[in-house]
Amino acid sequence: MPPIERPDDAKLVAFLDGELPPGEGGELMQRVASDADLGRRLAHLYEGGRLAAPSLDALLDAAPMSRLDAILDNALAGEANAAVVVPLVPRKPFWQQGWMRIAAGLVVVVLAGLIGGTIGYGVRGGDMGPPETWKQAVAEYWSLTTADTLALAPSPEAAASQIAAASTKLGLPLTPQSIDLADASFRGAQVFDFRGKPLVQIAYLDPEYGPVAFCVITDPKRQETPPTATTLDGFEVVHWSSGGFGHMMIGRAPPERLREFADRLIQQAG
Amino acid sequence: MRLHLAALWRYGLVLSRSRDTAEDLVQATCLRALERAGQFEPGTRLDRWLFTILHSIWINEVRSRVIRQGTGQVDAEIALTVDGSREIETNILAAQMLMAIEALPEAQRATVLLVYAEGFSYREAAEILDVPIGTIMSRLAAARDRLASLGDEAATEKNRDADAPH
Repeated sequence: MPPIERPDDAKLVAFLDGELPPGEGGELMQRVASDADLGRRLAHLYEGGRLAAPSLDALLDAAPMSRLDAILDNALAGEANAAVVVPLVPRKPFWQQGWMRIAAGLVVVVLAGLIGGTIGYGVRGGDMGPPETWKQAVAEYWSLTTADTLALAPSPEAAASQIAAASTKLGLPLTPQSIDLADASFRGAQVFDFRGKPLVQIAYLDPEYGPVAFCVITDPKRQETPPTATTLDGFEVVHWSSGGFGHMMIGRAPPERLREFADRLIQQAG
Repeated sequence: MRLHLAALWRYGLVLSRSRDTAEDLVQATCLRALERAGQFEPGTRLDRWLFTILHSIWINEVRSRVIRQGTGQVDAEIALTVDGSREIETNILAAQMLMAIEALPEAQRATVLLVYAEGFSYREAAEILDVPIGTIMSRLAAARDRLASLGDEAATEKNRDADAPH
């Protein structure tokens, strides 16, 4: 008759934790009753876990509850204010921020669509002055955006809320369907203020070419210009004007790709 | 979610062994949870969902940076300490146990906290940590063995002190 295999520590601990099936547990109890070494081993493992729970429970007393409550309050407030208009003011480049501020900031960018009310030309240094055109402002802001920045997709509810808020601020009907780019997935809509005019930026993550954005601003001159490709601060840009609005697609995708997106948006806008 | 803030902080502390990082993890978890609120399945445990988010943020976004910056080590600071208002003897035992838990490898610390402090089943802990149940079992066995051995060492030391001539 082959020797009966002795239960290993994992099985003994599972027994102590009540995670063994009833039959196995009863069998093990019988083994322990007739095997002193096994009994000692079981007692040893029992002792190892006996104080873990009460000790860790004591740790809860040290939790900084007022700060944790404030953290949650701020997160809730950020969610509620997701469509706040953000002024175009200089920002500190994110790589100069503390690492955790970056981690939190990157989340906030996607979640609430704002990071401390900042956008733009901080990356150029303080002596460059404000951007001359809204396209320049967008390009400078967009240089701060990476695929990681856009790693999170908003929930459908949050996306619809952001798009609705952007539509209201801009005075232009926008829906999840009308701004859908199929291959490139929606990553958030933000409303900025550029010299008193609402500027909407809709971010996407193209699986092949990374972040791309569709931006719209009111155009009091009501110009009508066809889609035109250009480069701006190292980005490819396709811009056009119609119906009292200026539009642009920006990213590091080839001009043909951006033009394809532009044509789709024009068609869907109807 | 407010009910789970302290537990999330504790999990962040046990993982990172840094109070600052624990708070940052709670913040990131709150933001992520609010953003993904639509993905939460009503009827399931909210705390399990939140722990999964925090663990994911720790593993994918924070741990490497903390370790790279050297703040993942706690030579100069004991992160896991108990509040002084607790009864003194309990306090001492708890402090010893917390120091022992703090010395465990990260995977064992996380598993011990989830199963023994949070009361998750092996299966639930396995889902949060994204590992097989067998891994949960082996981690807990190794942790209990280690914690018991440390207790034995402490008891031996205490007896030696007591037996020493005065």
